[in-house]
Amino acid sequence: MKRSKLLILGVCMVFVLSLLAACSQDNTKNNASGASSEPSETQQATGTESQSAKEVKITFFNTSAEINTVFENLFKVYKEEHPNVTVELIPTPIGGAQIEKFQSLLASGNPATVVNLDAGTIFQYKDKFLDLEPEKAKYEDLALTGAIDGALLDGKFIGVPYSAQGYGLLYNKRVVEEAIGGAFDPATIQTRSDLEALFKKIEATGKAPIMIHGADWSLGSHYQGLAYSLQSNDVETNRQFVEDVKNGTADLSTNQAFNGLMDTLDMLKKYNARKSDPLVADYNKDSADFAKGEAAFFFMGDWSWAVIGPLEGRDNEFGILPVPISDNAADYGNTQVAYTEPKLFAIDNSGSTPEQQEAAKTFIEWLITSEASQKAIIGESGLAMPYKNLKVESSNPMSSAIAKYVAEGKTVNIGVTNYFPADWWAKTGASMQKYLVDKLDRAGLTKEIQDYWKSTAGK
Amino acid sequence: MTNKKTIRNAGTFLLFGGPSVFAFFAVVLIPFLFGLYLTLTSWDVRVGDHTFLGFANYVEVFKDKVFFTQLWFTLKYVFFTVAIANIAAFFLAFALTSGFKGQQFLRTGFFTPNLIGGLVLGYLWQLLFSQVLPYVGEKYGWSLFETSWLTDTDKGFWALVIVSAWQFIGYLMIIYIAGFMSVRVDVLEAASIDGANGLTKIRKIILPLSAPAIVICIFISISRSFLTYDLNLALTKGGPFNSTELSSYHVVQKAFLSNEYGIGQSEAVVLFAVVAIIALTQAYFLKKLEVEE
Amino acid sequence: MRVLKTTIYLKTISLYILLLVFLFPFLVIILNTFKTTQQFVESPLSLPTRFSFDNYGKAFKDMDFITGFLNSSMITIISVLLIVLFSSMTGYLFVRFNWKANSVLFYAMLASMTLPFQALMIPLVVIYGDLGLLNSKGTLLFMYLGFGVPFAVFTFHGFIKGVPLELEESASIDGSSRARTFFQIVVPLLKPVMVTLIVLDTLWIWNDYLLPSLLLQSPSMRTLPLSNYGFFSTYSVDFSPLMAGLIMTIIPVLILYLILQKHIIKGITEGALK
Repeated sequence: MKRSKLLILGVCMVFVLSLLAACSQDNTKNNASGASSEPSETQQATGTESQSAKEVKITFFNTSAEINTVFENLFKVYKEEHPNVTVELIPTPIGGAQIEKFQSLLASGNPATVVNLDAGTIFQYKDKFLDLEPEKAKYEDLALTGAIDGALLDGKFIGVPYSAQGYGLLYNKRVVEEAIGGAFDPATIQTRSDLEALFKKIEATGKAPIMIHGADWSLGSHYQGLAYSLQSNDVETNRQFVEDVKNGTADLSTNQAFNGLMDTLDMLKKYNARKSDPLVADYNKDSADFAKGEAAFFFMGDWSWAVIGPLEGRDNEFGILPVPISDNAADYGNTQVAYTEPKLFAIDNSGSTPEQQEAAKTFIEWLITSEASQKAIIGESGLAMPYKNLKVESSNPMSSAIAKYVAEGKTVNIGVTNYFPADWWAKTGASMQKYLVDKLDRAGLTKEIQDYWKSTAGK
Repeated sequence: MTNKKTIRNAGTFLLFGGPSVFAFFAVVLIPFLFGLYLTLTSWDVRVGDHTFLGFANYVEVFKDKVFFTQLWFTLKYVFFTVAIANIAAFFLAFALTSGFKGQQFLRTGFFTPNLIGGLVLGYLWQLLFSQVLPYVGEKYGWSLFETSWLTDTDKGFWALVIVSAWQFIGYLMIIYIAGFMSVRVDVLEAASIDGANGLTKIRKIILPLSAPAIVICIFISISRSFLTYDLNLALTKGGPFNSTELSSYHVVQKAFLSNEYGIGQSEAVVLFAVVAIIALTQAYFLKKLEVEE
Repeated sequence: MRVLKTTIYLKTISLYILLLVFLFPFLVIILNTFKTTQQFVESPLSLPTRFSFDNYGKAFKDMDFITGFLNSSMITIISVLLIVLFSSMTGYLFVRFNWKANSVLFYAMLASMTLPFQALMIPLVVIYGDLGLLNSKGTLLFMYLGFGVPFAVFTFHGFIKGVPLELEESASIDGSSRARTFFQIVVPLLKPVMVTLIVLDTLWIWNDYLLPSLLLQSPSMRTLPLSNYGFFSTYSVDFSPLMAGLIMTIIPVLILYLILQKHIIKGITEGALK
């Protein structure tokens, strides 16, 4: 009687124990990170010394979900060229708890070796990443002028830029030219009035002049972000400006750049293709309508090529204009497009072994310089890389249009937004949405945005 | 004697309760308590230290007006979702137990939304609301659908309620059907002979006898709708302008986006307390009613 | 008699129409798996011009369907079996032994059903990360057991309450032990509830995204939802292959549901409702 009970109890215990054993076994196999000291010790003790010293596994945390597959294929190529190094992708789909997952990995002491994260996020976790100062000179040689400076966070080089994006008023060349009845020279539009005059002509042809994508990230981060970036062309000065807003010494309601930008938004609102339902914000549909000429302009950036490129029946020629903020052509911002290195590669310094970090450095360099990688990043994903001597040419006409501004030095550095709190764009984006649908007037908008900044003072 | 009995009881407990209680402790209870402890500290992923703060985070929660606005919003959402889903499921179950050809097929059909989970369902409905319905609305001139429901504060609320109810109905219907099955055959036949019509049957016989099913359905739908997160994210992302943020969504945003982990976690604890109190009290009172009848 | 027939006829018809409206979103999905994402976005309701299975092919390849299917099946089957086995025993324990500890545990489990997962997420990974138990299927199975136990115990508890004690008493007289009594006498009676729980827990685990996304990193360990979500991108969603992937993901559980559905209702009737 008692025996059978003991027997079953024993079976259960064995079962639970074997499960736990299975866990730690899996762990030894898959976790070479050494983040948790125990499994890697076991591994070193059991595995033959020479083998475990050579073989390195690094993990790659990716927040650019649209290129998950591209990266995964790239990692296979890398494995063929470097048989000792295995790179494992940790994909995070949008809406799939990206930042939660990143924090979880960090909190669990099992962080990814390499991350591809927003520059702002890397700044927030700057203590967790490896200082890449010794590598800086090498990348400065490889990169376009200013590209590495633009990626510095608080003056430190902790993230390697791999893509550069610009945004502004994209235009569909065919629609614009049909409206003005001739070739369009973007240099003719230098002020808000120039733009409105053009909009009137477009409107007369029955097409919508502009598509405003009513999502909080577009209005909050991209559009409103310009206001802080246009204070000066120096990121540090702009940071100081935001600090002044926080402690109340600067006032947005009397700020020229901010008000100029919002005056332009008032104008854009009048000509918005989505006037009847401004917040509907369907990215696929907005992009498709613009690409097919339903709207002449689109406040967006060159990344939209990922959606527009593969469309059937779209137009072929696209360009970009800056968002004008005044009627004085000489004002900073009227002839410059916003330009940024949104995502950076960084290496973990909180739980990775020196071997992994070394492997990660080599790997990142390969991602920047190898032909296979450039093919994937530029060719397949349609991104622009801020580097010289690239072996692959971009097929993205929007990037090419932006590259012209970059070559002439006509860019707005929006790096200041990297230093903002992570919820900045979501919180103030909501206020921008209210403004877009006239639930807030200018004074109300300014107040909500300033209140947000004040609430973050001292944090 | 007693000693021996204690040992035997402990053995029985370990054998029958051991593995599941161990797993429950290790996966749910201990992390929950650890989380509770974290709310009393200044813990943050970026820093990783635990300075003891006492109830400072909870004080912050009670200062967070937005949290309470959203809690109220969530209560409204839960109320309508639970009411609509349960009433619809009840009548659907009633219709699908009358014993006609094809009722099996229909039951399966109404259950299918439960085969897909979370985000994807939300994205699908988002597409329906923001594109398909406006398309139909424009074509036939139905002003109700001409603009997307998701860009309107009030309609956004109803969109959330409808989609949630849509998903719960099939699940609850199955439980109600099960509830009726035990009543149906014998009692209803007798009632039919007595000449009771449909509504009288429901009121006098089915409703009281399916009380256990009602208790369970309401418990399940309350706790589930309080925890709605995926759907909120995929459908409205809390928009337009944060007007449709449910509490769970707010908690996650607070903890992970605003990087105020301690406050977010404290809000989760407050939310848990609210849900547990509501769900358990309703179960307690309905159970009591049931016993009295 | 004729009138009655017409009413039934009308009722059936209206129920079918209701179902059609109810399942409208699904019909839209299926329709659009045969179109490109562009066609989907531009005219979501139009009929496909030709029946192309390209999206299914793309989804099958990009999702690495076979690996995902095997992982999902293994994880689902083992977790569900663990949950059903251990919870039925615990449910039995809670009903038959009127100890204080048991009722405290029972209410703790009931209350835990109202806990938001996000509240446990960070503590969970911190604890299991410190123990070095992440990135493993074993841990995932164990967590499913922990999260699945409360609802399952609750359901078994309700059912076992209704099992007459006399059955077991007669068995005890024969001198069989508790465990034997349980497995020989009680378990056969539990079959309907077990089927119900198997279906409900399978649906949950099969479709779960967040937990495996936190625990499984290697591509070789990915479950179907993990690979399916690769179609979400930063600004847009590649709907058509996503939907095709989704259809392929739900077919196995749909089949399981169709096979077991008769028992489900029986299970609930005799289980939770007692």
